[in-house]
Amino acid sequence: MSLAPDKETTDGFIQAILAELATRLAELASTGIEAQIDLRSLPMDPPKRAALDAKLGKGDVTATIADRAGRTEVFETRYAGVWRLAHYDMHDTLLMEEIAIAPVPDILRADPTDMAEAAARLGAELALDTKKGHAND
Amino acid sequence: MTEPQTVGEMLARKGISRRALLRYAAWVTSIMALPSSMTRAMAQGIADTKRMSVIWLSCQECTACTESLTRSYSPTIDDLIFDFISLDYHEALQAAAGHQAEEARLKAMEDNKDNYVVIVDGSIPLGNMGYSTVAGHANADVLRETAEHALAVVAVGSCATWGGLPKADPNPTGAVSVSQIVRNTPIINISGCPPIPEAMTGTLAHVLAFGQIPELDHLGRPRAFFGNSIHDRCYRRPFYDKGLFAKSFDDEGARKGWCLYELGCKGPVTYNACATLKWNGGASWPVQTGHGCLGCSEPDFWDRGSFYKPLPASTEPLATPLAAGAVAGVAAGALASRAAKTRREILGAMSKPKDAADTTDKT
Amino acid sequence: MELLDFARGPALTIAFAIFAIGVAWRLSSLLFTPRPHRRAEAREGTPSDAKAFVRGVFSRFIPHKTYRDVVFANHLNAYVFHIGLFIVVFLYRPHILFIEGFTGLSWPALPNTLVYGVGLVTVVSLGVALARRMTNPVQKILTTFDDYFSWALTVLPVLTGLLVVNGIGARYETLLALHILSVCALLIWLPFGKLMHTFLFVLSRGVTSVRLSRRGATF
Repeated sequence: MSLAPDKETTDGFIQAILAELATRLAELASTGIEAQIDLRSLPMDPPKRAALDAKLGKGDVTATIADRAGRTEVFETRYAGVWRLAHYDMHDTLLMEEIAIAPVPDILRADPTDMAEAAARLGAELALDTKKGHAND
Repeated sequence: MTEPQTVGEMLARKGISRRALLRYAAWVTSIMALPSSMTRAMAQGIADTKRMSVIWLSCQECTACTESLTRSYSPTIDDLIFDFISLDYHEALQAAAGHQAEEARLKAMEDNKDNYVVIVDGSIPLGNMGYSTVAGHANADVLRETAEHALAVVAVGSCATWGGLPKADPNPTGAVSVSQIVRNTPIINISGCPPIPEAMTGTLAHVLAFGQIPELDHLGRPRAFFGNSIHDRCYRRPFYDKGLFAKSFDDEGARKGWCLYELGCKGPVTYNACATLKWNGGASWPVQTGHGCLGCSEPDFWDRGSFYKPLPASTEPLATPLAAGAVAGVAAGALASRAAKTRREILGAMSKPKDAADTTDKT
Repeated sequence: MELLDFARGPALTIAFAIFAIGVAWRLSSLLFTPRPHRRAEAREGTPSDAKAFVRGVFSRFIPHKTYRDVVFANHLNAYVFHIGLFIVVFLYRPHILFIEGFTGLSWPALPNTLVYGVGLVTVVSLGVALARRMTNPVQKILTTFDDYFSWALTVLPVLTGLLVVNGIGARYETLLALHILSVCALLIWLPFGKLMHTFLFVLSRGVTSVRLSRRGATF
């Protein structure tokens, strides 16, 4: 990758997004305040989008969330704490893309309600297994 | 196991994780142009709330609003709304019929007093109460009764919001809008023929998550979806600014995708989100298919002259007053000058002897 | 939206009717007026009436050399806003569409952005004309309510038109309605005040020329 600034990354629009990212990232590092940037509502033509993606690059974490309601692709960029998210519906149509500035994007964290439900379910399964085990004795 | 109390618990039970809810909230936040930071609050709000009881009343309508919302041919992301709400009464969708259906409506009203939402599609006839009835009750009476203890009334479609097609001149049924019947309950208007499904579901999600009505415009429509004109957000706008217009539906300009203003596009005076959200899951929208905007989300759009008449053209034939005025003016001018001539002749005749007398006096 | 419906329909119909009645009435009452008897012989070498008429109409497009230096700036400014008004009214696409709507006639337009520029220049030029009228002692004495009123009704459509295309001050449909209503006001007033010079300049220049030519004046 060339480090020389190309035409697109010196573009005012991309510069503004990058400046915003830098501010938010510094804020995250010092105060822990998270932020999101909605790329869907930012008017960007394909070359600009490509330039932004090239600048941000790809880091060392990639994750896919797939569930009944759709799919989300997440990866960390070359800048720690800056994540790219792409949400798809159940027909794999792109709904929206966003940038999350956070230690971990919200969507990757397990939710307390989900965890409580999972614990109850696991407990119930375990009780059932134990019962089955006793029955086998 | 106990009955799930909140939407979050219910979703977890159904195997839809909070992650799916966050994805949904991120999307709704985006289409409603809310700050991205509200995504978490919206997801939390929906998860923590009880399923919202919804009563759907159909008046003089064509069911396209329901078709638009359910789009049964292909489930999409906003179908999740049906997991968040409890559709307790909908004549077209509910399984119950007859007395059971009416009892379901009354029970939902009693159980959720002041907390349920009423959705109305179709206009309400006042000309004769018998024009549109359900279970022997006139639309207006059912609407009044159901809306009285509702949290909000959502009028969907241009019939419920403005009176719609049934109200078109000469309005044979005396059709009126929801706002002319419901007085003391907040009304949200989601106009369009039909309305954009995302505008309906996004608005409901907002009410559900935050317990309040989103910001509305002067016609009672959510600004998030009706804040910009079609023209302002149209991808063909640059052609308008350059003065490049299609002159017919099959000329070179039309093929090149130039502006449809001269073919009667009502985009500049129509407020809706078609240009940004598009239709059928973002597949296309009227202007993209090559036809001008009809202005279906604005009041009385069919009574505003032809769909194909350019916006600057008068809605009435101006040649008539111009010609009639000119004829009348010429006639008036001719009469006036004739009268002046006659007057002058009379005055002239009268003054002659006097002149003669003067002359004799002097000599 | 209701205001726009009123403007596009009844308001324009009424304004067009009054405009037509007024213009036709004033022109016809002048044309039907019997010509005065010519009691004196014309001078030697007097041009024919038609020739004198046409000469009079065209010679006044340029100021007489006696006054050329004094009125130069004013005359130039008058040209700027008259040509500006012509371009804005007749060479702007939406206006051609409006005229085509009731005449069926159409012609090429200038690019929208160019017309916006011309509109701006026209407003400034009209502002200069007003400023001169209010500061020049002689012109001030000659000015009546008619002048100010006619000026206001001329500048309003241009001003509201610029607001429409730039979306300043209100929603598009409200601005468009106000723009159309301001045109209606102009059309209604035009036949009854000094703005009637739109039609009368030909008659007054021509007739004056015919009369004075007979007395030996050259045009």
